Amino acid sequence: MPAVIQLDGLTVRFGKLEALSGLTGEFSAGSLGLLGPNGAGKTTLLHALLGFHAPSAGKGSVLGHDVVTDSRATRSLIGYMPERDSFIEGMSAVRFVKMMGELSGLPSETALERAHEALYAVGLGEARYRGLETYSLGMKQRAKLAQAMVHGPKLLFLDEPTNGLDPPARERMVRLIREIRDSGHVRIVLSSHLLRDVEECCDEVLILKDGKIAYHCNLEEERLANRKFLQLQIRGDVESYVARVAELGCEVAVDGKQRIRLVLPPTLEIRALYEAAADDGVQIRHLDYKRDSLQDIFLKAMEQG
Amino acid sequence: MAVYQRSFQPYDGALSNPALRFLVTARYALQDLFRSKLFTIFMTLCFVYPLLGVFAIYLRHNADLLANLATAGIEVEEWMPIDETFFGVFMRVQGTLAFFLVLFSGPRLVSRDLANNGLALYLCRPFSKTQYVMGKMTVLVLLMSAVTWIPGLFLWGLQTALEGAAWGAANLRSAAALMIGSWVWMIVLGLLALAISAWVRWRPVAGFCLLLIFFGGIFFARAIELLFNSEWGYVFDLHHTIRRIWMGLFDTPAPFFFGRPLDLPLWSSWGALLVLLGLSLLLLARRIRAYQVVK
Repeated sequence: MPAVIQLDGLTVRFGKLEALSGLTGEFSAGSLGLLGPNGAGKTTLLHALLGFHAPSAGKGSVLGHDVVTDSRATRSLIGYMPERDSFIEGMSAVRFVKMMGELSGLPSETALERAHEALYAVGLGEARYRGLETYSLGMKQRAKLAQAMVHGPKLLFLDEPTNGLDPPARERMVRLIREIRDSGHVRIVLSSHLLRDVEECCDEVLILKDGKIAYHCNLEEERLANRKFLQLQIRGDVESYVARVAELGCEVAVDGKQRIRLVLPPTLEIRALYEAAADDGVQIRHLDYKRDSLQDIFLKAMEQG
Repeated sequence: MAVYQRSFQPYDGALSNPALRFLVTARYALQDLFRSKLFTIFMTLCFVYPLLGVFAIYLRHNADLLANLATAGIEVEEWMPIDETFFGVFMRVQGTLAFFLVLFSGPRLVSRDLANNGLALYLCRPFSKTQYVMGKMTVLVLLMSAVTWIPGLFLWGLQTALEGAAWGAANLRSAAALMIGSWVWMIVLGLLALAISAWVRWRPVAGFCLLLIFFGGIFFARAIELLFNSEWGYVFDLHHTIRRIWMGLFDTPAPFFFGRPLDLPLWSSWGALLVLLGLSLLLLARRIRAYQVVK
């Protein structure tokens, strides 16, 4: 899969402050989550990719276009949903989204049709003729999403899309993002400090800390890897069972009296553990995947970084 | 599929000309302006003076009417000559009306986008800062053009058509002065209004700043004159600076200040306008950006 974003020592400085320090990497997932505490550089990275901040050193490219030398082409491929309240006062939602479509190059009639479509898609169909300043926070967030997708971009930058939303509104926004992702027409870069948002919407995670990459992983691969880590609580002859599963090719560690942790070899199914237990007359009272959640990954990244 | 059933759709159709995309912002801003009845009425009133001009030119070329007036002892040619003074006065009246049009429309043009962080939404698209400023300037230039050089050249053309090509050739300077004087005024006033709009978000205050710059300079100039016995303070008086430039372009006598003409060279007025233009551009460049620095 070609890289969506390529970074080669990308550095952004504001005076003496180094907001991004030599970021390097290639990200090609359909949906990339940018995680990090406040001030980690998530928004700065998005801004740098949009050409808002000129890199002090290094370079970056989006879908093969250099963000500095080819910034116009880059921006024509991106739909951007900013973190902060962003709208134009005194405009109805449909007029606002239409204007944004026209600014992206859509002919006027097409922009109008797509503005209606986008507003329906984000669930603002019935409110599309209302002034934006009369919208609730959740509605404004959705209007921002509509303007980001009206021109059918190849890549969506969503900066804290669930910021300030109540739980039902957040659920709705996450569902919308997943629907857009699953349409398969657009890649997504989701910046958030909420682990759950990223976990629910993204395939790949880039964790930033103090402007540096603290960790980068593919969530799906992490999940698959986690499926091989097991934690068992057994009753019976622990020692003989441990020896038995070791013969099957598992890496085993006894963790407490009746509790063992093991790593399954790729070819071995969990069923074999039950069969071995039955043969040894051991009861498996509890079996759990030792899940390395995104929270664990994030906390580890924060400690290491 | 019905519009309300569609979800995210890619777009691979034709795109508009990127070079003309700045007209999108201008179109939307003009639509918003003409929603105001007050503005529409004022804009209509701006055409009263040009219509009076048309009437005056018509009077000067209506043989029956001229004969009747001559019988009544009124010599129209002496009473109302159509010459550089006529066009100079036209420029002053319409230029002042253009100022009030900008006073009404300018303060909201940029501040509205800045008020709710709207600039990021413009600039995250294939749309540059220059195009943004051009779009906003187009609004002001179109409005001011409609009341300055377009009706002015129409009057000049009408007079030339009725009086003959010889009159046109003899008064070519008036046409050029109308054109140059209007464009100088439009560019200076337009950029100044946009710069104020970019820095002052509250419309009444932005309007007051514009008024202060236009009319308040005289107090500063007078203070400099009284304190230092120097006329150079008048270069800060925008109202009189532009008048001096217009009068210079039309080659009519320099305007009087407190009952006397100024000894200041004309280049000082051009220089003052250039400085004002540079300042306006600098202020705009510092403010028109996709993000705001939080200190």
